[in-house]
Amino acid sequence: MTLENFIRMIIVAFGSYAVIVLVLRISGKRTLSKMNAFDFIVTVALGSVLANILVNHETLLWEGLFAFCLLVLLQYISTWLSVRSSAVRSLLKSEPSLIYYDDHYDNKKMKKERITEREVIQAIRKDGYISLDEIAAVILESDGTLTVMEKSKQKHLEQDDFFL
Amino acid sequence: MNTGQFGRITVVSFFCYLVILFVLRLSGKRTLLKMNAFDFIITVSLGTVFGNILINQDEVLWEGLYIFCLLLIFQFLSSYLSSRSALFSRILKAHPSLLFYDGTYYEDKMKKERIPKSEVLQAIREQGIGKVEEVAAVILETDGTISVLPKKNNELRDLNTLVDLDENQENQKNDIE
Repeated sequence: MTLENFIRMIIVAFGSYAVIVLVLRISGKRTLSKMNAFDFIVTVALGSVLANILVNHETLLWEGLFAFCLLVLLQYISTWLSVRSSAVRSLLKSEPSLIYYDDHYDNKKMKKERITEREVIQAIRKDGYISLDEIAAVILESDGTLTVMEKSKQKHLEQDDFFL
Repeated sequence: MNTGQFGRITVVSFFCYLVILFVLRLSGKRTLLKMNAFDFIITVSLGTVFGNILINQDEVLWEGLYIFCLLLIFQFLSSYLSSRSALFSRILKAHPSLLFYDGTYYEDKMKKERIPKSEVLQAIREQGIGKVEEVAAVILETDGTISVLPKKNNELRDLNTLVDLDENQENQKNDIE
């Protein structure tokens, strides 16, 4: 590696870092919030584009930054549309599913979503619950995480109480 | 760089974005659920493939999308089979390991899984628990996280989430009880 390459890297790293911080800051917090399956992929793709800019000599700085901005723009458009149109929203985002409720696994839904009982129990353990008796419901969210809901002392939770 | 390249990146980005959105939506929420170490790697790979398609001129668009879909199909098949066959589920996924149970550290298991006592204690602290006596069990989950299960009213009972552990560990736990 020559000195020139070294200096190029420093300038490119500083330059792209600054641009990326600025672009992300302008596009808002929502760009990197992971609310559905797709958001996480886009976040990793953004990181991969940045890494490529830094490491690949063949990739031109402008080209990389352009790809980065395009991705942010596409995320912006899709989230902009989904808060304004319910049709777009249901197209982009799947509904959460109730997979455990009232001491019963919904086996049909679990098969459909390809989730095993072991995974449900693991999610419950991860939230620090030692007993299934404390659990009112487990929900598979649209970003692919499992939410564990504790039983309420005040009232018996009905299915409608989970905003599904 | 000329306008041709800019145009190419724009078209490719839009197209990929739509295709990837569509195939992910099709494959369901489960595809990105990170329940074991492997799931996380796949998710990161998917993102990297996407990023690479955008930026690498040499990479052919179809090739990238093909790899993306292949990864999704493998993930789909492995989760499809494990949700339908207990045998597959056991082959694809390790059992969680009990590291600590009611005052006893399982040193053998900790050595095997390369977890020092300090990390078990750290996991307990991170749950905001100041006394080891308040902990019923500590478990190393299949995705590499450590679960801490506090005792209920200082008693060991209703431990029905402690299932599906390594076989000999089930016995050890029963011995203590």
